[in-house]
Amino acid sequence: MKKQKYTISFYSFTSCEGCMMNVLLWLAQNYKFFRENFVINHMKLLMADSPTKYGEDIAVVEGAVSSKKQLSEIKEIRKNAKILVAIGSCAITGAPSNNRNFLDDEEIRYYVKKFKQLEKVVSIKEVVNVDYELMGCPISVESFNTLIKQIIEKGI
Amino acid sequence: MHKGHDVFVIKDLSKIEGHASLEVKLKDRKVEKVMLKVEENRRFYQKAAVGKNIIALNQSLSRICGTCSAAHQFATLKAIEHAYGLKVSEDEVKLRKLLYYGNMIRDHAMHLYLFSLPDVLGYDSVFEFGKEHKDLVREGFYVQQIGANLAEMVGGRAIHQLNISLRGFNTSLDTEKLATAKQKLDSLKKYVKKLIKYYTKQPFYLDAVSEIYGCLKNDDFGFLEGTIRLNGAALSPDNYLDSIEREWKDYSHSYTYYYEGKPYLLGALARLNLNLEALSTNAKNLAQNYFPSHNIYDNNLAQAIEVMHSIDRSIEIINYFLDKGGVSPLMKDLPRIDKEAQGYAVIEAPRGLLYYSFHIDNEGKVTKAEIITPTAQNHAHMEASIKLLIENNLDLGKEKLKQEIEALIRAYDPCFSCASHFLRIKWS
Repeated sequence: MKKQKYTISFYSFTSCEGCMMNVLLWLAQNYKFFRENFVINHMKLLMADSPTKYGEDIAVVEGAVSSKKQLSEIKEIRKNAKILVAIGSCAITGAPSNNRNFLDDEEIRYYVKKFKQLEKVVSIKEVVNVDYELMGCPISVESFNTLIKQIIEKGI
Repeated sequence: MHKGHDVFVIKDLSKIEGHASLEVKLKDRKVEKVMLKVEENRRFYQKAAVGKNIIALNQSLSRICGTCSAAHQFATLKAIEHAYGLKVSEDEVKLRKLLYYGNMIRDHAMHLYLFSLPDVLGYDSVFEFGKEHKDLVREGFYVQQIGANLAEMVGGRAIHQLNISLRGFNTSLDTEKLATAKQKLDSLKKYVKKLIKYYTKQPFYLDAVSEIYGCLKNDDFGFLEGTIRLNGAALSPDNYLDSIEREWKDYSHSYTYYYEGKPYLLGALARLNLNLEALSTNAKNLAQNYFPSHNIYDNNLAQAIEVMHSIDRSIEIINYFLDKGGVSPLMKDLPRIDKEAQGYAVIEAPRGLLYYSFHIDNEGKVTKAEIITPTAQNHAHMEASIKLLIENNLDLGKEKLKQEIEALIRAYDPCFSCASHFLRIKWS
């Protein structure tokens, strides 16, 4: 019998994408394991198209939420994913991508209005229910590996 | 494309760093407007630097960009060192370069193998590589990993390195570690040679829209030092800003830049065109037949050559420290700050010239910061190239044209994570 593969997606919100750089290194170090266990549904860093929009077994999310568009996107991701994993400081605390929460001037107010931003930058955790979180700036490759293997062992 | 008005949109460009989209307006088979929209949500690091003490500023500004964090850290340190006339020892400079070469290998390998190679070989992504190309995935991951390991060994981590600060370089390396790193780096050469070959045979061609190139000119191609050359003129960090013009485009989250009203190009192609003589002998030999080049897609080939160069130079530096019996922490006292100062630095980030300036008060707090990234400076050049590409290929189907445009944008290796977040809107 062919082994069942899980669908996984990687989403980047407002961040430096440093956590995703380490996800790439994790992918490199565990490529065989990865191909045996997963099919990617969405990963803009490596693929142009997503086979289906949302609805994966595991959604891995980095970054903070700063625009209205992002807020509805993370809600869609949450609604459809079986498991949502928040990785990195921005996803869990909002910082350090939330600089503007502590600043106030004409430029920031103009920017917030013109580019349909939220009044304050928020973490993923503040706006949707998160199943697993992994702290770090950026996350460590080893910890991410442990977490993914724990999730699989526990069953989805 | 048919007659009359036509709009062409690519949402969320893939296989690049950060978020951007493209909108093209056509009228009667003429391109009226190309809008490359940076859609990163700004994080205001430049503004947040104001009021911060210079002591740990490099750690904060590192977070501007995951993939070029070392560039932001070194530009920060160099601007502060410039402000207070601080000296950096020869050994510390060598360690900085060693870390930086590791970062350059990882960053370029990611772009060359994972983002751009699918375009060259005709695949949608690395996951679809056929049997004859499967090895390239493994090799790409390996080159990327060894680069990351080098940056980690010297800098403490591959991303947002911890061992570098105004106090010096806090790294200890024994000869065993150095020898292992050297051997790993050496093992990359055959793969990188193969990669270079793929890029010498890549199928794309587009003439650079302007032949104005900018880079650091130096004698070791070390990315961190040298005099700035822009269109032949020699500039210094403190007058660089006066030499370029900028324009705010209200459809994008960032500025675009011009030199004497024209777009200019930064990055690997510019460096190879202007500074080829400074490459390692091995890299120079591989590059000589192909540069100077005005084919914009040769930016990829130039990056591949730079990977080889970075391997060669890393091994030279490792040999130097092997002779010295290893690396001990190079720590010094914090600088004495009791006067106002201004500091400027321009270094080569993986994607081209990165400008930093700080005004600092007499307590060491930043009162003004200015950061200009290479992707923002390449923006106008990218838009002009896209226009030219579309005009040359109006009869190509939309789907095919879309692929060609994406491959072109990818050849610039833009980093939109970096490109926004900084600059002030000019209030009139």
